[in-house]
Amino acid sequence: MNMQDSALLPAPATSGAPPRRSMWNRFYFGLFGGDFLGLIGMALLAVLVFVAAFGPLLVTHDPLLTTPDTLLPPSAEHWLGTDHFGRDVFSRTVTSLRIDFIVAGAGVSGAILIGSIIGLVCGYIGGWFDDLVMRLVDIIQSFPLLLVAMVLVLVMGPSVESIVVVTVLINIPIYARVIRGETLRKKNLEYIDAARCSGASEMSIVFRHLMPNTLSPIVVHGSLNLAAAVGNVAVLSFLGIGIRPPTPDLGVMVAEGTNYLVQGAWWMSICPGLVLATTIFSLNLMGDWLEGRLDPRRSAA
Amino acid sequence: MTESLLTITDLSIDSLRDGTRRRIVEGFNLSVRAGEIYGLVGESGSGKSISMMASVGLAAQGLDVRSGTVNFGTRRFAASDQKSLRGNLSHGVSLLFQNAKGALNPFITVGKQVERVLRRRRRSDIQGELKELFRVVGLNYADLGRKYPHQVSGGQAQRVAMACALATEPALLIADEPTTALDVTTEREMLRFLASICRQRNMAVVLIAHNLSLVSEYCSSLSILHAGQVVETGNLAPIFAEPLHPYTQGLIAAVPDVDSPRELVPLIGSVWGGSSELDRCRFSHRCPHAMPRCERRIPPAVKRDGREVHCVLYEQEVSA
Amino acid sequence: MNDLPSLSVRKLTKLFSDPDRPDAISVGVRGVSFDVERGEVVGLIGESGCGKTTLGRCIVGLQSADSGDIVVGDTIFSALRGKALRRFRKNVQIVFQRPETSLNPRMSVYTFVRQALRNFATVRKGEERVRIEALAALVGLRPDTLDRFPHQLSGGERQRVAMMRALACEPELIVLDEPTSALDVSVQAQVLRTLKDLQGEVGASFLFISHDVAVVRYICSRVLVMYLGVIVEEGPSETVLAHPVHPYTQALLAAAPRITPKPDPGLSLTGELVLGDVRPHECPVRPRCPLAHDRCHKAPPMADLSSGHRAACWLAHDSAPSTNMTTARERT
Repeated sequence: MNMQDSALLPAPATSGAPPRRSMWNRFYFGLFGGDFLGLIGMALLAVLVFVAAFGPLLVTHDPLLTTPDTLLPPSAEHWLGTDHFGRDVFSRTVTSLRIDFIVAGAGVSGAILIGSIIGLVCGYIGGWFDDLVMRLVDIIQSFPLLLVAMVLVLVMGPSVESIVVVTVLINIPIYARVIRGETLRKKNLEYIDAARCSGASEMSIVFRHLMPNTLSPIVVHGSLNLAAAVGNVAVLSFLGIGIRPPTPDLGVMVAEGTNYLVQGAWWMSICPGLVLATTIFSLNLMGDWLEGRLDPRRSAA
Repeated sequence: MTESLLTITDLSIDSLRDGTRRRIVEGFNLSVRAGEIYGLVGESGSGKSISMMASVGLAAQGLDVRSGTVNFGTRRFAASDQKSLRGNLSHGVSLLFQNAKGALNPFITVGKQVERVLRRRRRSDIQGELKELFRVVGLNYADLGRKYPHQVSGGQAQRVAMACALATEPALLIADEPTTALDVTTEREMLRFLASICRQRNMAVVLIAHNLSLVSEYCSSLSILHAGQVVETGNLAPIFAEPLHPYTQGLIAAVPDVDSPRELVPLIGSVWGGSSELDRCRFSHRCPHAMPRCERRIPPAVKRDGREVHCVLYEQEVSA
Repeated sequence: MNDLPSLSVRKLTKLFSDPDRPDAISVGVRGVSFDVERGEVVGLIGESGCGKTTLGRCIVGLQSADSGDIVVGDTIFSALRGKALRRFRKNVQIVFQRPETSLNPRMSVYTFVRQALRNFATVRKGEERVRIEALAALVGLRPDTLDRFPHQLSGGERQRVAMMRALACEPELIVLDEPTSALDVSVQAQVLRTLKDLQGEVGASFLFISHDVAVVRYICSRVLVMYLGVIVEEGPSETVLAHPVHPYTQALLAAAPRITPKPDPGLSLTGELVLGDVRPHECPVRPRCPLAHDRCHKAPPMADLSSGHRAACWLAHDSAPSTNMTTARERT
């Protein structure tokens, strides 16, 4: 190349220096785009995740230890009172939160993993294979949650594992469908053709070029789905086909507490119930925030 | 010289995004006479569409109209009051966009769409007027009236959009790159047709284009915009005969010529590449004649041979 | 291999019919043949729906043809399958039209360009950075662009990256499918200048697909004019674009926007391309052609006019002689 071309070099894409802004402004407007509810959701969720993660260090009592001090109201000793077996409600709530997060998280991650691969492969290959697999996915989706849960619990026995499997199974169709749609939309784009011209193998095209570009809707669906999954685990446990007592679970605790509501022991179900509601609420807020954040029309701005 | 129909004076617009304010249109002036086709030329992002939209009260969200007045006919409006502008100008102004198919409702036949617009203005003989409108835009109502937008070609869709635009008998039509989506052979036909309608109805047209060669044949005057500043404006003939502003010269030199394989002289850099300071010539970072003075203030308007050029190069000559 | 053309397209057909409109003629490419010599820049001009993009995609092996062959050098590219096909892709590359989608949004420029080097093992791993920096300089990009992601680049820069990727494996032929038509005038001029310089530098042949006659005239030495799947006129740019013989080429030239409009632009076609109006086995331009007559119901053969100038029109010989003579005289 010659001299003229140095003149031809395009100017850098970013123009000038951006105006300086305070840390808070950059955090609030930059990351949250001024979305106050998103900020609240993330803050709440951060607290809940912290509590769940460090649960064993935070508990004041053994969550499974029964004592003669039954149905004590909240006090300095038992922050959220005790239940009908004299167990500490605070310690049980913290432990439940941890277990529910793990079960819902494992279930949703499993569903994302399996569902994405199904969607990616079906969308990319197409044809009869796609038709066949997607009809199977339709069949899974047509079973109600409770039916799948009952059948699986019957086969696998009531355990944490079976609830994880139920969560995986019930959520696979969501991800298979979302990723398949995204794959169909992206597989004919020019950069995929460019990769093919660059000698990329089919495997590399699917997993290296296509997959990273189809995953963004998962983040949004995942966080909304996690909220639903936490709720479902609690519902199943509440109904007695999920996590079984004495293992603490928010659903189990609410269920047990309802029997003592009439006796005035409100703390037994209200406290875990509020934690459950807060968890679902904060996950939903985060989902909404992510949806706005990852919207290409907004992120392009 | 006839009275001007639309006059925009000192229009300035800020964009508010991510909590930062940026001036995207600076001191925009424009004056269009009835029956004239006025060209508004600039590269993408130069603010040509934004200025026109804001001057009829349709500034997009996230834009803040800082200053400016709009005279339409005998009335005068403040550009910052977008709502009243929109309310008062909607009867006299029609819009025509690049993507005609996108502008038409896919669930309603094209005949019905034109009819709906027509009903807003007229009470009697709607069918007769509808057929007449289709004839004016060069379409046969009997053939096309019952078709849905996806069943007509791009050129036909643009003509239907045109019929919608004409149905309100506007005094001014803002055509925002109306031919960009069309083939060259159709494009020419469309522009020629626009020119003839304009003559017949004594309607003013602002033709927004990104390419100088598009406006060369049909416009009588034009403005050239760069990064929200008008760089050269006035009668078309002198501007094309002897472009004065370095940007105009650059734009002409950058377009390949059908009739000869002459060498291209590309403009360097990009529209918004310069610093975001307000009081400067926004072309200076791409200008071969840039000097320190260009960075210090907005270049003054210098009048010469029926046009105004905004460049310090010519100010010097005047004073000397 | 040296005297063989870079690319030889032989009776290539690839048609798409619209199941909703069985009466309409199918679009695509029908029986197109042409050669691109080594180091030549050939322009393919046509409007939307003429099959130019389909042709380009068939040539680089992104679409398989219904019939006909694509020969690159001495290899029948269109007959290759599997690994042999993958390995041979090195020789034919493409640059796409839309800068928004031509780059992988999740890959940095460096990674995106490197894939070609890796897959074809063009250079040793240690030399990749050096090679890619050299490529960046070749297409006029600053070295710091390499670590950026597509959304941080302007349209012109993205098209340069797409060119880098195509050039990376030193192909025999590059198909450029409207590489500048989505760009602004000033950026288009920058990219066209670079392309013109590049061509001399890398020695690859270019097939430049465009609807813009002026751009083709600027960059190409020979042009093919395509309408509804067939080539209607071909020849050296100077001859075809200065003295067009086919009514369609004439209309295309007359309609091209100009800074200085011609006082008498000449022939123009009527209306738009309507697929339902065209019958198979007739001249595809007939329904819109102002000079159409009875003979046009039969597809005209390619008529040889002068050195490499050919046109598929019954009137070719009638309208050609005068212009032919002058060009012949000018040349000698």
